[in-house]
Amino acid sequence: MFGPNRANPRGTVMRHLMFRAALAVLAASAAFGDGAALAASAAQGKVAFMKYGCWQCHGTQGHGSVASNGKVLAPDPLPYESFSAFVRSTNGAMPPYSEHVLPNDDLADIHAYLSSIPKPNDHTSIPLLSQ
Amino acid sequence: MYAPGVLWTAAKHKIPLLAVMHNNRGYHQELMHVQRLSSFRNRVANLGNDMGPIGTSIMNPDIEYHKFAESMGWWAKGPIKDPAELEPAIKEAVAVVKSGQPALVNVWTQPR
Repeated sequence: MFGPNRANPRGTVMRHLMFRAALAVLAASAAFGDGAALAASAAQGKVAFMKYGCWQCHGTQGHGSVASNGKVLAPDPLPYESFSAFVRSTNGAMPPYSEHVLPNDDLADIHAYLSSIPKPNDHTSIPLLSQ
Repeated sequence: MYAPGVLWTAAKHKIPLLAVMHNNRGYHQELMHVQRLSSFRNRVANLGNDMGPIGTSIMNPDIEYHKFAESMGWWAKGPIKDPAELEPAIKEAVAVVKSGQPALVNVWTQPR
């Protein structure tokens, strides 16, 4: 049934198209980690970022602090898959957040919020700092 | 919050002290310890919204430290939430200090 179908070349073309479509879906899944990331909301992510206390160490803009050893989350956060893996499994100063504590949808929203944060203006654009 | 009497002492003895307050509205230090223990038990430590995990935040209601200082005889201004308001507030406070009075500027900051 799934072998070459010389008698029906149109069916063969259809199968090729379906195969390519499946590859595209797989590629998108690999790029975004899971379906939750595709439907993520930056606005809800900001709410979740505050709700789960992320801001207390990472700052409200994900810009980092002494508590994060100066590491910044935004702009340009880690790809979702790496970000998610770290949050779920870290064993450093930051404790791991299981899916039970921080659901996947909320985590994807938080990543969307961090991804939406623009780069800051250059410090020379601030009059007091350019004196 | 721990030793507010020092404000009264400075006003009483006219000590020209400039205090620019780093008001981060929380303790924050034990935050990860609280979350680690909660995660261990599959619990959410946070109370929701901007309340923060139990025992780590001093907000809602926010303490009006500038009014607190005023009640003890200080010149005070705040809460400063917009960076653009900071420079004029500090200039005012410095002028007060140069006149021989203590001054406090209550500035809202990031938590850490």
